[in-house]
Amino acid sequence: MARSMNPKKNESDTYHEAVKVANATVEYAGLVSWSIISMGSISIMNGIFKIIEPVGRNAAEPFFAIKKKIRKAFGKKIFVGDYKIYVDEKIKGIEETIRKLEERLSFLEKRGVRISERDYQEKKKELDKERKKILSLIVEENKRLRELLKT
Amino acid sequence: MAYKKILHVGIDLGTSRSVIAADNGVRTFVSSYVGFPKDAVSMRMFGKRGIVFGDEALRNRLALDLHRPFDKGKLKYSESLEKKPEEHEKAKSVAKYLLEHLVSLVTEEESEDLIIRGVIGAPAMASIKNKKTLLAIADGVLDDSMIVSEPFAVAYGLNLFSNALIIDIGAGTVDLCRMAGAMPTEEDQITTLKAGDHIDHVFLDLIRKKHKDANFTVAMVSKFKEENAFVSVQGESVFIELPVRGKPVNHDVTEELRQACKAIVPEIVEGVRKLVASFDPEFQGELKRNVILAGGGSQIVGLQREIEKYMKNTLGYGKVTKVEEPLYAGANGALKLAKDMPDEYWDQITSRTK
Repeated sequence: MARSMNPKKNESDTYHEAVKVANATVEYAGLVSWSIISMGSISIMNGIFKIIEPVGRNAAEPFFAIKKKIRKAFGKKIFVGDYKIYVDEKIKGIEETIRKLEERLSFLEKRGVRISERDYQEKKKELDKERKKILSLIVEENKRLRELLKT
Repeated sequence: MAYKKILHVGIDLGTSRSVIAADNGVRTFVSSYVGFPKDAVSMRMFGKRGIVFGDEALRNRLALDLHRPFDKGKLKYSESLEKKPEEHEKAKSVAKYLLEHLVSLVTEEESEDLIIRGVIGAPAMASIKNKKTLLAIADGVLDDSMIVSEPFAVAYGLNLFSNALIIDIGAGTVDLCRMAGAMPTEEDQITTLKAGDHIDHVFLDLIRKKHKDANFTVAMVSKFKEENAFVSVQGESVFIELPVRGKPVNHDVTEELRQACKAIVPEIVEGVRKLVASFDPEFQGELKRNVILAGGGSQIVGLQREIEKYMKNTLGYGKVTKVEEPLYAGANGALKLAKDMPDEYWDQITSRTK
């Protein structure tokens, strides 16, 4: 089949080309405008940040100091897998103490123990004469028993 | 010489239970049973220990050669030393193992080298021979040791030195001791042999008579008695589960238990009467107001009232008080005595070489 010239089609192509060029022009103009605006904003923001940052840092300094102290007192940052967690060392210490106390308590309970009131290396209290007399009589009796034990 | 810590202990070597209290705060008791594995199989069962003590020994008695070193408040065979020297030596070594075990319980948490000073309670009327044996047992286990009358130790622990009457009810003996402001003499003390073990045997006989088909042992009824003992008329009925031809059956033993517990009362109250009646009349009133019940047997429900009732009938009135911790009263008093004893007194009787 022979091809025939279509003048309408040719007209349409020119029109579309013109539209494309117009679109590209508008788009380019938009991009240039956006670029100018954004660059301008960044410059403005940088300027603002440059002014605000030292002020903000100084203002936040006391809070960071408190946070740092608290962290130092109660825990330290460690990594577990990909996660950062805070392990409370003090709490761990307390838990360990509690565990030891519980062990001791179970031992005491097992033995039917009463907590001693004072340190058992405490210096002996002064005894009255009557009590000393009684104690010396006990010693005398035990000395006699020991003599008998030798025979 | 290196400085050593001194650990004071108070010990009550009882027929049924042995109690220890130490000034490091530890105090405990074990049933006075010592078991030795019977054969290679039981030896394997108990591992390296070789000797088993207390309730564990009682629970495994079928696998053990079980010993109870004390009977009626004294070391077994101590009165028949000449006739049965071997048995006496065996009882002595068993008692020594028991004492070692008791001491190990209070020193197991001590890491330092210690000097252990102990006061051991002996029955009020223990013979010289018996006291000597106790000292011999303590030598080598304790660095320094002393023997005192058990009820005196109770009185010392309670700071009751005058016008008080202590009744210490144990398994083997009931010791009565009158405190008159000085060391109690023979006249101030009475020991009766109808105590906890006597209750067990009476109870056993009464159950046997009433429930002929039931199978049981002294250990079974003794445990039941310890949990339910009473002498009061009011109260709930008590039932014991005993096997009859292999099947557990509940038996009502209320009256039998009451009767068995009451069996020790006449001798106690007679002892109280004697000690009160022979006391200085001027102080008898105060003595009657200061009757103290101690020892495991004092936990019999209604016993306090029963003695008071008897004292009212025969002595006009009487006030009986139970000690706070009947089981530990003797050991606590002995510990207090050990702690109060000045060092120079201890040095006079020490058995260790310095």
